[in-house]
Amino acid sequence: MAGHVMAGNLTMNCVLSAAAEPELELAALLAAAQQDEFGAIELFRHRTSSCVVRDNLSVRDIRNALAASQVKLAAYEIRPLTGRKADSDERNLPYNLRQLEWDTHLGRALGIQTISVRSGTTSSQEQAQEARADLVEGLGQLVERIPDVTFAVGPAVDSVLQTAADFDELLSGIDGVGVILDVAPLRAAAVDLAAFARDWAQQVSLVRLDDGDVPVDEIADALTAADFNGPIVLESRDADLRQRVQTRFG
Amino acid sequence: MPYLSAEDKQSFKENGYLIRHDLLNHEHIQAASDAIWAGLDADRTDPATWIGAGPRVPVPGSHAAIRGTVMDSPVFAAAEELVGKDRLNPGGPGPHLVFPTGEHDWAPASGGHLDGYYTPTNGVPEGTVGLFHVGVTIYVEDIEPRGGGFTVWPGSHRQAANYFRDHSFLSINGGSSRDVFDLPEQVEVTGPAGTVCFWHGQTVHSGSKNCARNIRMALIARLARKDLNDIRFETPDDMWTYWEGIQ
Repeated sequence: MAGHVMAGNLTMNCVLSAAAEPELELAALLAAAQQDEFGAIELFRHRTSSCVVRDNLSVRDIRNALAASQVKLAAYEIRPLTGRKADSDERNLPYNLRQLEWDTHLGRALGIQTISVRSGTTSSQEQAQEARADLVEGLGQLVERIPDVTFAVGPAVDSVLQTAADFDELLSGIDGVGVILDVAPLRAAAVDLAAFARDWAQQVSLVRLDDGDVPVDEIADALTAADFNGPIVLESRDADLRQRVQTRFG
Repeated sequence: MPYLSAEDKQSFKENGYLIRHDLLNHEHIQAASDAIWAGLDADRTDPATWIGAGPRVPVPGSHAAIRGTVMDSPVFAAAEELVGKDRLNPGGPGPHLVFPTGEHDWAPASGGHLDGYYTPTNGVPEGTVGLFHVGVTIYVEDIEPRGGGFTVWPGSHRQAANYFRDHSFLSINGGSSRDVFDLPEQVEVTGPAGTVCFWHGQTVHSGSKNCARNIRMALIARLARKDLNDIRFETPDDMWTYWEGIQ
């Protein structure tokens, strides 16, 4: 994977997230990555202008653009696991899973082996109970149906997976699922980021850092101890953040 | 002994569809017809009751007589001759009926579509496309011109292959291809009970208004390669890369 810098026993995979420049289309995002000397990017199935289902882009177009820019695709997030139909909000886990399977196969076609996913937001206590059940059941089914990728689940604001307690409750019993250490939603839920990194280091598949208050040293220590070698995704082009991450992880 | 000739395959390759009348025997057709009639709210002996009858799906595709038209006949093997032996997932057809309108002001289909696209009511999940490789339309009743026949746009599969090389599969809203492809003259498939039309999964097609006497009793199967999930986003320069029987 491009962007690797071996240092000590930690592999440095610094990745520019499309979320850092959500208005940029793919070509412009790749140019930004080149300009900032990132060897890899993170793309999304939805929610950014560089999302992978633009009308005028085929999968082969995306592959060609990546190859031409010599920037690798290191991370990819599919639509959220809501257990519901987006057009009617009806609870329908099989329908939602068919969407996520389609998104996942698209990621496979782009060469991605770790698929990022979040829980959906919830608007009521009743929905939250259903969302918890659907998240656990849905992840289990995805792991079983598409065994040649790793699913990594991350926190989201106003979802059933945001606090440390949510992770303990929902993910402890699921085998074969990675964790996304995503500092922005964790911070929004007042999670102790250093403690979270220590508690979940063995399962962390991907790290997302922003330019907020991030205990980079503590996170790096925890992940180094766990021999983490996944992508470190930056949701900001802030030079100071990049420098801190490179210094501490590299 | 193969069921398809080199000419059959060449015709399919060129036009995106192929019609055969000799793959189903009388027993297959009769059993499927009986199963459909048993579920209809109409008198089999009284054509007046066929007008606007129902239901549109009078028997599930899992019914042995319905599934048997593809899986217990030469039809599936013929489809595999296009894509490659042991390459297709087994699958039966489902009934697709068009009831007589009792009207005489027939008009050609105004526009075709590609299958597998989301609409709010068709069960396809939003933001996905249900691709397949070979469509099979089987008539279990005699279908005459203007009788609601399955309608195809010859060569549209080649236009689709070109289009999807630099567009997302999701870029055709609802599968409606009217504004996307330069469609040629349409062909309404007609023929006696037992007529089988094989069609490429990206051939633009449609139903049409039934101004004839008979109910258009069609069974439609959509057969996909077993490795569909590994190749569903591939749009190679050679559109027949995954059609070993056609190459």
